[in-house]
Amino acid sequence: MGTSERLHRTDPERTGPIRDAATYLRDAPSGDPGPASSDAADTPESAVAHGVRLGYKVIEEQILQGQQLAQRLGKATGKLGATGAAEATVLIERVLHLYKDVGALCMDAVEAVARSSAVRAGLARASDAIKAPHGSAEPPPAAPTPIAGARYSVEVASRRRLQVTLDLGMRAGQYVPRVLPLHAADAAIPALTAVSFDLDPALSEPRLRIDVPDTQPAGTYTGVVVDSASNEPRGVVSVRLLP
Amino acid sequence: MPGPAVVVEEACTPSLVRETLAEYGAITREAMRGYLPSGAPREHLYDLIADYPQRGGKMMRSSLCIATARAFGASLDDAIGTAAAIELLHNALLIHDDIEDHSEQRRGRPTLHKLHGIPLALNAGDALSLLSMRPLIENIARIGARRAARVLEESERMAWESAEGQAMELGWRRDNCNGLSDADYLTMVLKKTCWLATIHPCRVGALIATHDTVDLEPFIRFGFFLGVSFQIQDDLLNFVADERYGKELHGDIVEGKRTLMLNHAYRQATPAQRSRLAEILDPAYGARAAADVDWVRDLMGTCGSVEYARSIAHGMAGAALHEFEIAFGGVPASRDKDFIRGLVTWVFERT
Repeated sequence: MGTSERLHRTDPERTGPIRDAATYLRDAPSGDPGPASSDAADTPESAVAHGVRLGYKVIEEQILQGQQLAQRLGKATGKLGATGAAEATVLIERVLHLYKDVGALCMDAVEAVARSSAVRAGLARASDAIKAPHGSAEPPPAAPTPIAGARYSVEVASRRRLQVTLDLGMRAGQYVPRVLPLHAADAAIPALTAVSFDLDPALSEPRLRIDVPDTQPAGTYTGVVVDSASNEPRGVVSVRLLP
Repeated sequence: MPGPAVVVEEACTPSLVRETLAEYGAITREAMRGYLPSGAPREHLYDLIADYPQRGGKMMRSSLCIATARAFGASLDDAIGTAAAIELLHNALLIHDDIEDHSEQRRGRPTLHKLHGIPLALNAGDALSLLSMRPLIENIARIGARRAARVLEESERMAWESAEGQAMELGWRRDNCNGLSDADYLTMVLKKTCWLATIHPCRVGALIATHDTVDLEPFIRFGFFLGVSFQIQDDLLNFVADERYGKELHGDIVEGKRTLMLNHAYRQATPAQRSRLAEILDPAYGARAAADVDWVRDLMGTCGSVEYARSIAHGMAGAALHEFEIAFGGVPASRDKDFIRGLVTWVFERT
């Protein structure tokens, strides 16, 4: 080439067909250089192949867009067995609510039956008939029973200042509660284990009793309240032990 | 991944397709009748609402929904409400489409707005669209709240896709967009036609039958290829329209629709021809005369656009058969499964 000036061709404006659906509102092209002899398919066979290739390109883009949209909206992609995390959470919550409602309905029904004077009289007679042959005059030990619409009293034995929170939801009183040990956030701190429900003989009310050792570190301790019959979680007891 | 280009055999469609369309169509029509109000105001609303549904139609959409549901194991009762909703919405959109396209005939008779004027027809379309919600609401009692909610979600997506597709086509015409690519056209048809006609019926049918446990994505592919071949064939039929077809001969050219043939002809035309074509298609040009329509038709003939479109349609049908095996491959053999597969070839034999 020596010292001669380098040849330079003008860059082509486009290097291939522009197939972009986003351009569907573009203006009519101007200065198009005549018949498009390079149209993707000149023969029927090549038109078939061209159409199918293009079809897959279009539909795959659509599916991809749908998946991206679903992800943005936090919904399931619709893939096989793939229920999105958000949808699964909602579903689980719905199922839990359903079971809670059904459970409450059963409790209501049991309560209604239990409160029926006819049923109670029948049960008393049946109980007497069973007890009579044994000749036992001593009543059986009082078992804790659910008290509808009950108020709970709290009895605390502690030298330290503390706050107690008892959250049993709206169905409290329709089951016999049992509280599990109250744990601190730090697993190394010993749990509060002297926590229990019983019946206050003076008030005939259910009572939450908490006994806090003097050496218990300050902090927040939380434990689950369960239905003693079914072990289903019913609420939470929280004790905030101040320094 | 692109599938093989399969040329569809021009075999005679089994009578099964026609029989099933007639059977499921009759069942759906009966269900639709139950939703059509009969009280006042009849003259200005309810008679208009009942008009298009009573004119017949192929009932392909509802039949595809029922057949897919049954192929996957659902009962007819579980699918019939959704099928009726699809057909009601389809008829509602037809009323609006006819207004937007200035169409004069529908199913062999004057369009609703030609009979009653645009305001009443528009209102009837709105009401029919609203009416299509009723079966979906009743689905709650029919198939349970969860599946009913999912069908509703799917219906909402389908309606959005349809609206976007319609907007694309109307926008092209209003702004006189020419030189559109085949990809542009396929995207528009995917949205405007395929979602309502084929994708949605398959998806909700399978959803109902499987309690939403099956992957619905393959139905997008199958429905797309089936729907595109259906639409291109519909465009081709516009060149040989007769009374059975029920639309005006060359009505698409009169309306300036950007069909696959028109786009192809524009791309293949000389600069002078392009200018002339763009001028004819310009909305400012006014009503297209018979001579203009003949000129466009001849241009398509010269450019081989009709043959080109026919080849593309066949390729799409081949891909539809390929995708059918993926979407329905795991389903036991049944009359409904045969019917759905038969639709692919029926597309080319319908009138």
